[in-house]
Amino acid sequence: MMLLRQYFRDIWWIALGYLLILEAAMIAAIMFWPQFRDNVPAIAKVVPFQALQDLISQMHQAGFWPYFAVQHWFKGCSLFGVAAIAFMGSGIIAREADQRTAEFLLSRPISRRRVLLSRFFVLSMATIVPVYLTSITAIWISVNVEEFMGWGDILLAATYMSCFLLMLCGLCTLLSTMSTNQFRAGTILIGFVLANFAIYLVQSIDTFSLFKTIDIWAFMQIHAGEPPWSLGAIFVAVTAVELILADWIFRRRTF
Amino acid sequence: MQLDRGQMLGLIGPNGAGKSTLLRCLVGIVKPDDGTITVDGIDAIADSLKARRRIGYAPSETALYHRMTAMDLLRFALAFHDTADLDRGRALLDLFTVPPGRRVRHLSHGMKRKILLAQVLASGAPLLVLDEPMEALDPEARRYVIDLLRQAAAQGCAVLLSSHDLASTEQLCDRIVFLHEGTVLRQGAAPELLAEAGRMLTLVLRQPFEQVDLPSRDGWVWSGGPLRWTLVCEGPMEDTLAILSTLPILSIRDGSESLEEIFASLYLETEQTP
Repeated sequence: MMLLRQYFRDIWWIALGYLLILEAAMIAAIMFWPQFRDNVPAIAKVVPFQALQDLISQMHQAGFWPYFAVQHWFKGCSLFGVAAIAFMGSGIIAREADQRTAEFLLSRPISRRRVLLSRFFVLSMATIVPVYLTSITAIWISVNVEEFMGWGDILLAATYMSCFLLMLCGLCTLLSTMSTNQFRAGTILIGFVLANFAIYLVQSIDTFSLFKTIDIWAFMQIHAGEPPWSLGAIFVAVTAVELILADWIFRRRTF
Repeated sequence: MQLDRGQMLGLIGPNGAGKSTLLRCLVGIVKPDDGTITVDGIDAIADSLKARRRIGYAPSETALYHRMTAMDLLRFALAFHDTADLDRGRALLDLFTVPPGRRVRHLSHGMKRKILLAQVLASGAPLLVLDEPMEALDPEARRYVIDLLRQAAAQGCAVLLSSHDLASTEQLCDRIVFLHEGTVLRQGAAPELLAEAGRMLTLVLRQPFEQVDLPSRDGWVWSGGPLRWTLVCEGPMEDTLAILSTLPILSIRDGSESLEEIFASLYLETEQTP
């Protein structure tokens, strides 16, 4: 419990900032919906990249749900989520090495695995709780623009997005256990995500991008009652592998 | 090297001798290449966690969680020891005049050292391991620490410390181990080592001498010059003095006065051995 509290004290203000930004972005996106709906054809003409044009045309055909999915989960949660993970998670282990506090921490009678897993747990909660909270509040806020979303779809979509973010939390944890410098771990994570987004924008290779797994099609499947369970399971499995690797590296690491 | 309950053992050596590395191996921060470490019958390498439950450790590094207050840090440090006594820790902070509510980032190096010492002394662990415990402490705090460590040893704790502060190590420890490049050069009780130090003589001559002009025997090592020479010698002292009597000596002094001189002579020998 002390480990959880100690790490949470370090990151709570980032988690709170992430929640507020996500909520504000979500409210702004919902309130912008009526204007967007009325101007979709014009917007579609000025949007670059085929991938983004496809998203816009899908929104035009299917209405509010794909618009919200793109605005909140695909754009908001992934963009702000990755930034929050990089800020909060890159220091999980790397900051101990960077600030030379590792010797103090690791000489306590606690296992390295417990340190790693408790911090991963705090990071995961700080990342996914805002996803659920903002997704749920969207149900009430969307009523203001005369749109209605079901609890089931919202919770399933938030869970799917959370699995994706968990995978990035795992990657960040792994990078942090390998780094002696928090900044380096965070930069590598952000670089990796940006590279994936760049790949997503190139139509011929976009299937290799992680963003392909959380774009509009995944959320349309959820809306159609056919959630992409297999992809969700892959996210969880990858997270587990990342944690096993991180644990293996951390147990062998000398500070 | 063996340390029993109630004993205090001091590790001495120059920078890079392996003192801190040895202590870090003991608490599982560094994995040793070879050898064994046993704490209360527990293999401290294979079962580091179990061994660490019996160890209170104060690293030499005073980089701590700077956002925490002194009291929070103490609470955090003691939270993982079943035998810890937080009230004693708080009392030790008071004794050391560390403001419990002040954030660590606003504390001086010496104050951070005192927090580390307070958490070790309040850990209730049977083995206290302290890396450079006297570093950055004022004389009053040093006296407190010496008294508190003696009390801990009297209550059955084993105390293992490394230090560059030879005077307090000599004053505090029952046994002393001299390390050099990861190996034990010499170990023993402080009085025994001091007696051995009689082998080192410091001579001041009336006229300058080159080393080649000084008398030489097997096991003799000269250093210094040209007027002030130090001799590390072996064999009966009477024979040594008889040989030295041929020199124009202004003064002669043996080196059995302090650990400082044992330290100097041991490392001098090591450096001069091919």
